[in-house]
Amino acid sequence: MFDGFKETGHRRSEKRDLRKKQRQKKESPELTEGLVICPELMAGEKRIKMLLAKGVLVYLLVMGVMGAYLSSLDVELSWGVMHVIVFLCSLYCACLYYNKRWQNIGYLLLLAGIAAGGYFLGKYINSGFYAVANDMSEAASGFFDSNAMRSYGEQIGNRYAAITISMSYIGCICCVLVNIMVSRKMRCGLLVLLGAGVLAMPLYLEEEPSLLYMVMLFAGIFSCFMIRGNGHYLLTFRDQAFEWKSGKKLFSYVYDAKLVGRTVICVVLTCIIILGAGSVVYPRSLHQNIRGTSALKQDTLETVENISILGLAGLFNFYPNTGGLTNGTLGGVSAIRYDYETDLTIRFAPYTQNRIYLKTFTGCDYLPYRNRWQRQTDASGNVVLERADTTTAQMKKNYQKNKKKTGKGKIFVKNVAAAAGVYLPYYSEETDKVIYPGAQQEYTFYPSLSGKAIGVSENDRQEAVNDWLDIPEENQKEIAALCRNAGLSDTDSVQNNVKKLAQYYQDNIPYSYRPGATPYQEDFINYFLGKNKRGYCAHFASAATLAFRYMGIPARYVEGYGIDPGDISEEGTIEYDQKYEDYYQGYSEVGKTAVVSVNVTDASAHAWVEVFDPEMGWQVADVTPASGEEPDDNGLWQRILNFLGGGRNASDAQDSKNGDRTDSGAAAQVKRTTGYISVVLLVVIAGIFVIRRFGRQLLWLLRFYRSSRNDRLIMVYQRYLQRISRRHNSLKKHKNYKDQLNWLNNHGYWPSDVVRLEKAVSVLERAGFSRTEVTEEEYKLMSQCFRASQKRAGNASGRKRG
Amino acid sequence: MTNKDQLHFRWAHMIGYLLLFVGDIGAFVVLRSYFLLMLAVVIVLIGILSVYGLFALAGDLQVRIYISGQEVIRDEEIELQVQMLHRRYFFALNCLLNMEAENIFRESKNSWEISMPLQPSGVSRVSIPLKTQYIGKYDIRCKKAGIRDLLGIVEVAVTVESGCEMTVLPRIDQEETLETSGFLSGMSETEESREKGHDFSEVNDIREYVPGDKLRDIHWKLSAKQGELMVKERISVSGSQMVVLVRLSKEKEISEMLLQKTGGAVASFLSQNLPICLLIWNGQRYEFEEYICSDMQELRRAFALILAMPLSIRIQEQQAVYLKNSYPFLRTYVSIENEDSQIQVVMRENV
Repeated sequence: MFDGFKETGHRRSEKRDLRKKQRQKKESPELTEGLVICPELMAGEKRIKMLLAKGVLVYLLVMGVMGAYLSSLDVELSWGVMHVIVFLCSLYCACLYYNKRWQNIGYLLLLAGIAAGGYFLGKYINSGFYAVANDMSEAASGFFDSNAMRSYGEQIGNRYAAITISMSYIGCICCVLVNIMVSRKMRCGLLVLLGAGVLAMPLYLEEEPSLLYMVMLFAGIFSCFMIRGNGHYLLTFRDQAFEWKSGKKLFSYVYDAKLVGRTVICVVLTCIIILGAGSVVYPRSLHQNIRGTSALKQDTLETVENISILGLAGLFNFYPNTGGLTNGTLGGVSAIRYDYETDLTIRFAPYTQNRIYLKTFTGCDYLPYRNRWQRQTDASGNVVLERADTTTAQMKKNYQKNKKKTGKGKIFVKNVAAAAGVYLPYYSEETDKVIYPGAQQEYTFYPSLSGKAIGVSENDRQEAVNDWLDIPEENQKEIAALCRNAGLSDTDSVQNNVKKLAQYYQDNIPYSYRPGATPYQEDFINYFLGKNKRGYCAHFASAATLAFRYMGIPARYVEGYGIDPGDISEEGTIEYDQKYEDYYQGYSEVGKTAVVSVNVTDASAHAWVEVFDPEMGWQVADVTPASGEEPDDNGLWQRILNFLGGGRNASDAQDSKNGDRTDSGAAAQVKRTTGYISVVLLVVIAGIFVIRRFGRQLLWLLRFYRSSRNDRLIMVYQRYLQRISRRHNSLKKHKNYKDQLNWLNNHGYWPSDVVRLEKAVSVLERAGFSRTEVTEEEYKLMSQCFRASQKRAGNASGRKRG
Repeated sequence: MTNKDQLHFRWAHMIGYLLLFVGDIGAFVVLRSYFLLMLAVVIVLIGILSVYGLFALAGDLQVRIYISGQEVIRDEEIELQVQMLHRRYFFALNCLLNMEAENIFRESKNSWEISMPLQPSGVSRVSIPLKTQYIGKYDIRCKKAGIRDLLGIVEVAVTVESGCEMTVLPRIDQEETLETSGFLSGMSETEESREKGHDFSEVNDIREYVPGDKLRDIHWKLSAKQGELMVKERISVSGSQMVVLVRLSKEKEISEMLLQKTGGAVASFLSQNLPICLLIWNGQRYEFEEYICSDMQELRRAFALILAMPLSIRIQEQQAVYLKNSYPFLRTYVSIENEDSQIQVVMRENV
């Protein structure tokens, strides 16, 4: 039916000639009428030189930042090896942009290399990273004068090699990222921000980088700024040294590799001269002497210290100032640290050579996996108010009966900065005396000094057995293992069991200020006993409470303050105006002393156990071993493993319980996890690639096959228009079919020899606005026109295909 | 060259650089770090160096423009070379030259720019390969150069005056199809038939007869007096010289074709050793320009001069009338003209 629109071969060839002329005009930009540029005769670009110059820039930036960071911390590593690896990697990354095909292949190779490096050297990388983190912790520890910084387990004995491998590996990854920013966009602002972020902490800790890396970093940043500020750094892949920008009527050079290289060299030399002269005129040592600390920095010290200890969680850190007092909440922090600020001030007359305890929380029911102790509750679940137990009553009674080695004391407790609560000495009936911050209370107590039976009734024992023997099912296994390993026995005396457990802890489970937080979905006690095997007082006291209960000994988990005699003698202040008799009466292990005031800091916060001795009643059982750190700390890694689901499986857990924690298991775990990460990364990258490459097309095809013929025709037409308008902005101005087709015809895209323009407009308008469906023949013919036009569009663009 | 006349701040980059400085100073106030102090020093000194280098370059910059041929034939490829010279050790990553290219004959002028780097101490050059599509005299000139400092925060515009000219001639191929004998015989017959002394020749000398001299050149009166044959030696004003009038059209394409045809026709005449007098109208002086061409060299020179004037001043509808008035003794001439979009070479009488 369109035969009538077909034109003669002669006319067709004329139009073809016209279109050819138009294309030639477009391809050959005109300086003035009759004087055109011949792009095909232009000099070619020196791409490889430019890529190498960019590679050097990437090297300066990456090595500048990393070198500044590592040199400021005085990390020991093989600098030469790291320089060589980072330099080669920078050049490789920069050369990835040599052409598009190599870009695709090169990135895949790079990714494979990084994955392989991670797989085979994972242990070294991990260990080296931890070593650097530990060095940073050490620097922070020195700066903040704190011993409670986190440390990570270094699995490799050869620290030097581990750090070299790890930092080189990280340097290579940085090269990839920095290269993307530098080679493509010269994003110097972003690089400055990233560099500032990395160097912020060492600079805050007053650790200065070496001059070499300052030069490299400054040169990298300024070179980048200069090249970006002047443009001419993007590769065009057109192999021409100059290009004509018709919109701006600008004959512009693409880039000048030689001059970029000169720029970098000049900036490096300038930085060397300036910094060299600066260090002579105003040496670093002189600056260190007079630098001082700004008021602004003073204000931020506490926050930064928290962050350096707890990471970002330090910003939301409500824990440290109360030391170990958490009202039974366990496992929420990875480490404890002391600020040595006074929480309580107590005034009393010393009466014993042992530790004095002030109890503030008594845990009855342990809630597994929720990781907290709960106070005693009644049948309806309401918390039972603390009340004086029979032991206290018996102590008081014994004192009143003037029995041997009994006494009565008074202690004044002032709440300086602790949480509101009762701070009850042993043994006191005044369980209702809550002390709010800033307030002071006086407690009367009857200490247990005789070490003899006090005559506990059967009822009391029965009551203790009824209330304080619960062990959650979930903890039975670990607790049984603990009891077995510690040699506890239900036939043995309470005191013997306490001693055995304390000894077992001392010998087998080290005390640690930084055992790491209990991982998500892990039970605090099971994790402590089965996997982590290190902890602080709350870990020991919690496990011990359940262990004693397992042995049939009623036990309580208790939190409060434990004041050592040493603290009293060293920190206490004698209250000369106070009379001893007003504070203490009866038997004293230390004789008559002066009344003293002692500031109790958060360092005295503590958790312990109260066990029920059938003869002695409720007694303090403090099984927490002496403090001692072990370097083998796997906290962060374990958390990452847990997060990724690559943590130990059941058999590993069993091995752990059996004490079979071998290095080969850890290495396998590292490999497995690295493998998982690599696979996940590859899948994610492949997914992104597929979605980016084909996502729109797939959606389009889905819509296409669901549409009617009219809609399909419009969809095909729109896509066709979009492709042409990518090269011709002027086409976008035309909004209706007629104008658009006229434009296409005028620019030689529309094959009006196949379908006449008026007819095409009519068919499109019918498809777009009418309910009348276009015929199959019309649809095919129009589609054919679009396809033919697209080929012309492709040819006209001058783009090289394939 | 040269006087500095414009300073232009690139605010976005300047603010970026200032932010870097302010951020560094702010961090230094808080941290009091030696690293940050040195960075501040480097920021300031590099900034000063960059701006100083810019002014040093601006004060010593020369621009030169060369073209590979002064006279070229249409469709030939040529090379335009723009050079920037200075003696400083500084360099710039981006210089912007404001260029102007004009086709004087076609009266079209375009402005465009060249962005090129400025190498330290020496010559920086850019070569642009060009192709000539139309004939004409081209004038390419640079009036202003903008230099950007290394940091890209300041630009200085420098006035420079440099340029070059080039003439693109039509490709002159002898007109194979042009039958010149008709013109020659036609003119000869016309001229020879006229009474003696009224042709467009002048007596230059009297000499003894040499066999072969025409009878009509014998000076009979003098021969009688001297007793031997004497002949008048003539020098031709137009007798052996073809007058060719080129009547250009308002249409540029047609005018180009007319000149192309003229070249071909004149070449044909010259190949027969027939000197040509090209006549073309000059509207500025309101007279015909005469170009005597006895060889191809002179023809090319004539074209160069013709193309150096705008086409519009070559257009005159009443050329035949003016020709009659200006050259009353000229009887015939060859007219190269456009007739209904057809270029034709015709013999016309000057009436």
